[in-house]
Amino acid sequence: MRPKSLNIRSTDRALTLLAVLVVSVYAYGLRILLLSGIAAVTAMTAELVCLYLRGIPFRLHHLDAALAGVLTVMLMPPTVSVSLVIMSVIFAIIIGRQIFGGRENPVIPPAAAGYCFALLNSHAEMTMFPAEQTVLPLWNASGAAVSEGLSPLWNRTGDFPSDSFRWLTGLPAQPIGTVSLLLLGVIALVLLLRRSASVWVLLPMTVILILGNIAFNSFHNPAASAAGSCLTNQALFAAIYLYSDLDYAPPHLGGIAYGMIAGMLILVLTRIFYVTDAPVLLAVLLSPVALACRHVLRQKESAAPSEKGGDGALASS
Amino acid sequence: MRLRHHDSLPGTSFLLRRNLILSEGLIAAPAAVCTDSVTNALIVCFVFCCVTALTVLLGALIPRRVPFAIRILSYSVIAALVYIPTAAAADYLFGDISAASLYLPLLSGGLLLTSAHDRLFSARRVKTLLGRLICMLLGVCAVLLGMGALRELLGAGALCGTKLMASPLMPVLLTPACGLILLGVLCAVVSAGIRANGEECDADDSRD
Repeated sequence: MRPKSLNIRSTDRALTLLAVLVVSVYAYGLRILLLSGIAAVTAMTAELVCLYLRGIPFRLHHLDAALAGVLTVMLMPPTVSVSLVIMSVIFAIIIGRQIFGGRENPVIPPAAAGYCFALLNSHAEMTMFPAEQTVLPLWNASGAAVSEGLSPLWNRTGDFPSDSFRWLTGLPAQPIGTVSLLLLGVIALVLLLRRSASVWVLLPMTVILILGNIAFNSFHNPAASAAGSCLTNQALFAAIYLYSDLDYAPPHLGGIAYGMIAGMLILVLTRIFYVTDAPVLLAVLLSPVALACRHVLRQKESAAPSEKGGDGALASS
Repeated sequence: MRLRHHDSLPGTSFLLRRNLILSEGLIAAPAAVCTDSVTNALIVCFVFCCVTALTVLLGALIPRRVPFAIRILSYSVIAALVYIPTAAAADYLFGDISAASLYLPLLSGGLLLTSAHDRLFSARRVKTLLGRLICMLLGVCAVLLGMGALRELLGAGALCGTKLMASPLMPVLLTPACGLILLGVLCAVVSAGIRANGEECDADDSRD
């Protein structure tokens, strides 16, 4: 089956992010739209400046820098300040993307790099979320009532709100992108069916996370455990947009191994070491490993046909 | 046409074009980690200048006929012996040097004072040796103090301990990781500027 082109994959991801954006705007007001717009403009400006300095002409596929900017915002709380968004997106594009060669040579997900920068820069701002899904002020949301997110409590105790209706429609005290289980599930399905996300990575990783968290909760209320494993620590969002991104995900058995290892590491980091948002942080470390794995697998695949002669028989030694 | 750079004074290329930190990549670890404030940068500058200057001047007394390996060893021993009173002087002058103390010994064991010492300083005229030494030290101090000022201003909102901003803009700049990133960005900017000027690195040291 012919692989999908880069532009079509980026378009699919952009449209799914648009759906997440619409739901977030409904929940938190136009502030989310403002932050996303600022992130997209900042990302494209940084990308254009870097392309100019490198002497590379602008192409259509460079537009996915805006996608990286919006993705960075989706990983942040709705009350994040505009200045932090701008600095994080600039860091994501320059350090997370352009320094390694830009679109032509992805090494780490720029959104994950931007998230790490924001977390190190302002830990308090990045770990506090609006207590309720209310419309936030447009520019300065520092006066909004905030609380610790759902993830730290989940990591320590396995407690998750048992209101299944809220799982589907969206819970408060969550990052912008983690809107609802129903929407994220539909997005995952659409991207998998359109072959714009790696099924080899997404399915094993999600299964490991769900089963592992059910086991950690001693099989009490498996439905809530499954929902909690997807919605806390941005696990499902990171699995869809960071881990199963076809730019990084190894194919076939390599992808399955990568998904399983990532799932197990996330389980250990979140439930044993209580690292909040470990999936996003781990993506920065695991993506280069996945790329190395993919490179080795491709070399093996290209070496295998060359050992055979024109009729498919093995060449004599 | 690429221009070859001729120094009017010996060693001026070591100020920027052949800056030890930005172009040669030496003492990168202390530069990235210890320059989170102007005070710490001053401590590193002081120790680096004293250890390097005394080691180079004392090492110049070792005759060339001494075998290379023995000369290198001698430079290292001299640097280590010079480091002890220098560290004591830094502790006396600056008070608490614990923030930088882990990296200060690296300044006396780097390539500059061992294998690169012969290439840069041996068999040079006195004027050339002194010119190179002074320019190297000035270039390194400028980079260290510049980085220290930038990181303290943006990361802590202060300069030399005096608070200038109500809240810091980028506290992450105070971390070693961002120090390394900042150093890398400065190296990239300087090398791009050198390339844009059409100057080539002078591989032949005889001009200085």
